[in-house]
Amino acid sequence: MKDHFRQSMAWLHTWLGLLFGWVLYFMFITGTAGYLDTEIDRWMRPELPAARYPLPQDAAIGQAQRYLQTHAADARRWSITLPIDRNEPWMRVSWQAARGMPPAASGNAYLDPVSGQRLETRDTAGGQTLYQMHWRLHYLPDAVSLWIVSIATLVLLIALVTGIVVHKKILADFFTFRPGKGQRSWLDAHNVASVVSLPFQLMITYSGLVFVMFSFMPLIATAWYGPGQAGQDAFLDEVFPPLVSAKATGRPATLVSLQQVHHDAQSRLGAKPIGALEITNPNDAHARVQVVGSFAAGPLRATDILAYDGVSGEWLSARRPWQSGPKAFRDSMLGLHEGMFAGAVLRALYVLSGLLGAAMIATGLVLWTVKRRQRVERGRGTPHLGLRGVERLNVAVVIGLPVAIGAYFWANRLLPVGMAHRAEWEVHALFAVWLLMFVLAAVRPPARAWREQTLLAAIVFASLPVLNAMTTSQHSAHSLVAGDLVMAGFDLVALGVGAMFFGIAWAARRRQRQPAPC
Amino acid sequence: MAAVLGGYALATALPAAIVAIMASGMGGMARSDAVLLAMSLSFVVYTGAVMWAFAARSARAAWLGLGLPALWAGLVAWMLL
Amino acid sequence: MLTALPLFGLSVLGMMAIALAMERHHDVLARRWRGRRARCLLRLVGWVLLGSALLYAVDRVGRVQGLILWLGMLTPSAVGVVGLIAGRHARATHRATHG
Repeated sequence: MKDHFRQSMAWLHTWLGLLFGWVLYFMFITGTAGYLDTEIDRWMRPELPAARYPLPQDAAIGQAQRYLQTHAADARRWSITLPIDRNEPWMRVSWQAARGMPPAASGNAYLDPVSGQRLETRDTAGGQTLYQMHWRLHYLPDAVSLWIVSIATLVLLIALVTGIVVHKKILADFFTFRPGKGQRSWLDAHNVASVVSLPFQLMITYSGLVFVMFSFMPLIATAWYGPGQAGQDAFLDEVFPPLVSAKATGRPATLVSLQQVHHDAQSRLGAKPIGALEITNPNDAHARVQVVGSFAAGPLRATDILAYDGVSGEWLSARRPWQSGPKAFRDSMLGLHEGMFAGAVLRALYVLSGLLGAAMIATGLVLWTVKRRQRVERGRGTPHLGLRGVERLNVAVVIGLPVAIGAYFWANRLLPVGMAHRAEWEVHALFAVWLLMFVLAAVRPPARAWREQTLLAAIVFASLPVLNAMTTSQHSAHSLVAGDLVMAGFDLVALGVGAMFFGIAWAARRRQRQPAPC
Repeated sequence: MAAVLGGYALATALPAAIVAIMASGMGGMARSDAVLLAMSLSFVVYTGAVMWAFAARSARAAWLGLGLPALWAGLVAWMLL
Repeated sequence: MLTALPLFGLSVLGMMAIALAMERHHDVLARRWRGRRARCLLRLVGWVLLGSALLYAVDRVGRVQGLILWLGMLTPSAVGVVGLIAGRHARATHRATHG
């Protein structure tokens, strides 16, 4: 009885893993890269100065207001983001044009907080795009990618649970890793990677599902709120009640000094940091200002929001972080998933766990092929198209994707700065190189392909600091001296990643020369 | 196997099951909260349901094991809401 | 950082003790230190160390963050222990086959 259960769970685990492994690997790699989005942003925009935070906010707000008033006086909405931690290292303003205006009328800009001048940077997709690929994939309409990602996440949850169920000797096998034994070693590696980071994997998967639960399970809302879009909207309105509802009157009025609003907010919030100001209908009689605290103060991804009348500066209402149990549960899940609250050490742990998740998937995929390849070698079967296809897909995805991301960074440095649609072309470069990796994997025998692509990855990453030095003035030594740790850090990490791939390539070559022990 | 069957049955079973349990359980909860809670729990049920569907001895057992609770849950939910 | 190092140290030592208490990995220890009593002692010490790691984390950064930090720290600790034990196994095998 128990045996049948375990067998069927093993079958489920294997096939779900195989079908969705590549998508999930992509999500883990882009998720981990996206976790370091502002650091990557910084490297991809070398024109920006080193970030300094937290920033003295008073003067900065004054400059921001002046800039927005000059450049976007008739916008529908303004937003000023203040640097308080690594999540938003530079002051950024954005403006949303009035309805009916072309999209080009909206925009955003990094501002120098002292001079109020716009900081000019190259048009780049930055770390933000890598981050967004984590759930939007790319080249696909949003609805489609949402479904793929949602289903993949659910599959991951099922795979994790079935994996635990199937791992018979999970306690006895703890800490076990026996290298050099072929299939046994790959199984050990798969087990170790998964078990060692299990709390994180379960958390990240479940919280990922919470992120998409409104679209994934709309029928539940329908049960309470009625069918159709109206029901969904009513539900969302109750979960996220608008703090201030104000339609523009069309009557012009002077916007209150934001510094004054800021002072009042500070007196109400005490020591809690202020992260942003959102202004609706600026220069209108019904202007409203919302002062937003920090979303990264703790695992709960919610914060104080204070609403003010935009003309008189009078305080109107407030929303506190805690609304209700279930909402707080959702906010905690989102907060844990995004990990924005984490300090330096915990961030490193998040990155480590993310990479282990990717390793968990990669070792699983390789294990599948090794097992079947061994069966073929023992004469118990023929290498059918499926096995050959998977062997090649594995290389192209597991190693090819990092190569493509490396190429993305190369493109950032090599594409001419004034080029049209530069940001889009950086991303095209990523996928073009990835496609090339697929082609290479298809035409080369898998063993060679592993070595070649790993070497390629090693070269692409290890030479990034050199490329940086040749194309900008901020090479590693300069950054270290200037105290721009993020810039220098990126270069060093790239070097480290390159070294890691060299190590893998070397290990793969060594195993090729030795006959595998039977 | 019961792959296709399992998949579809689940999609219908889950929301109904959860909603029903939630609805019957909590008396004085704001409905947005009830929905949030139900959605949050739905994934646990979904996972269990998929595993059940694949562990079942026959396709019929899979359908029954999922369909009946789904129907019951749907009925309870419909009555309470 | 100040919290992290002692936390990591405690975690690693705790994990190591638990690992060495396991039958499969017990033979990594020198013969002098083996035996059922040694295993019981190691297991106890291991769990005590892990527990104190948690208490330490909670004391330094609060309940919620402490728990999260402790859970996160288990991962690199386990990785470290896996590496060390695998290394010792490999060396023991090498010594056995090459005299």
